[in-house]
Amino acid sequence: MNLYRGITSKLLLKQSFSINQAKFFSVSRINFNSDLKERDLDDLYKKVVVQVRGHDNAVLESYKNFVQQTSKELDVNLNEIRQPDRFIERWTILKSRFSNRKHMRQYEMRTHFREFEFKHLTGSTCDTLLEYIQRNLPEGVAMHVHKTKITQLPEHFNN
Amino acid sequence: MNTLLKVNTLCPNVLRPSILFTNSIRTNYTFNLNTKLVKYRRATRPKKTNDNSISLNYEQSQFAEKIGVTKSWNSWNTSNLLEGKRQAETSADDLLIRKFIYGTFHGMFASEILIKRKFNTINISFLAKLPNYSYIHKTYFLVGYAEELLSCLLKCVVKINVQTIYHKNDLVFRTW
Repeated sequence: MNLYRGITSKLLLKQSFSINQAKFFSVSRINFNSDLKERDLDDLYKKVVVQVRGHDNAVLESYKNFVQQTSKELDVNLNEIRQPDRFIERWTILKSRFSNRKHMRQYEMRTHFREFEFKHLTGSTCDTLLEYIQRNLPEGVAMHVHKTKITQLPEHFNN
Repeated sequence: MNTLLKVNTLCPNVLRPSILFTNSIRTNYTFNLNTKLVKYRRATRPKKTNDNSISLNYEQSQFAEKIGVTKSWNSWNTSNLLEGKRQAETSADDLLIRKFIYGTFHGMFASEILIKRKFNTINISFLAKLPNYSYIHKTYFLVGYAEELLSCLLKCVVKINVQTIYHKNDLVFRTW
């Protein structure tokens, strides 16, 4: 093992070796240590659902265009864009501070939604995409992210 | 506090989608502006003068029923959304900021104070009319002073964007 490592380091020191050789050696070096190999595996996401919420529908529409453009430029699979029904919270209260029961006012707070469903992302792609999207989130817009990760079956199932 | 959207009436027609509007922004809001009731509304509406001596800027000329249609809010945060957090705290903080800024830049305001929250940053912006040129350095000092003090009080990053105007008449949108 030490011999191989010695050869690799000697080769790396030389200026005149091709990229293919370096690739071969680096791969063979990882094979020595099985823990290292496991650590290098990236997460796989089957589905990433990003939900944004806001009071202003026009802002969300603009943000939708931004996300579409981003996923197109980054070549990410934006599977579906959904628009769930809005949620309205209403308060019916007296118009005046005190008495005058017959005169009421109704106030309401609206929440509009947009859902972006990305499919088949690797961990690093997902991180990069979310980082970029979140940094460009407008004021007054909240984001919820739901990830569906692919994992191996537990050992007791395999046996 | 400003995220409350005022709806015109208690009538069930409020929720009816308006088909007549062709503008894409307007179709999103299902307002049914009933002229009969608008006639009786007095909130945010100054008394009409015969000689049109009251000059209004753009924000002032959009009255309360236009909030969410052509006028937007002065505070932008995520507290009052569905499952929003710190509703009362955010409103109280906004009130504190408004009072503080109003006292610090006293008599300089040419517009409303806008407060925008994003991550841990609070962006405060407004238009200012300086009395004379010697106030420029004072304003720079006041911006730094207000940023420092507010960020200590609210425990987050505070940024103040002041934009100056030459004359108050620059902002006049409509005489009323």
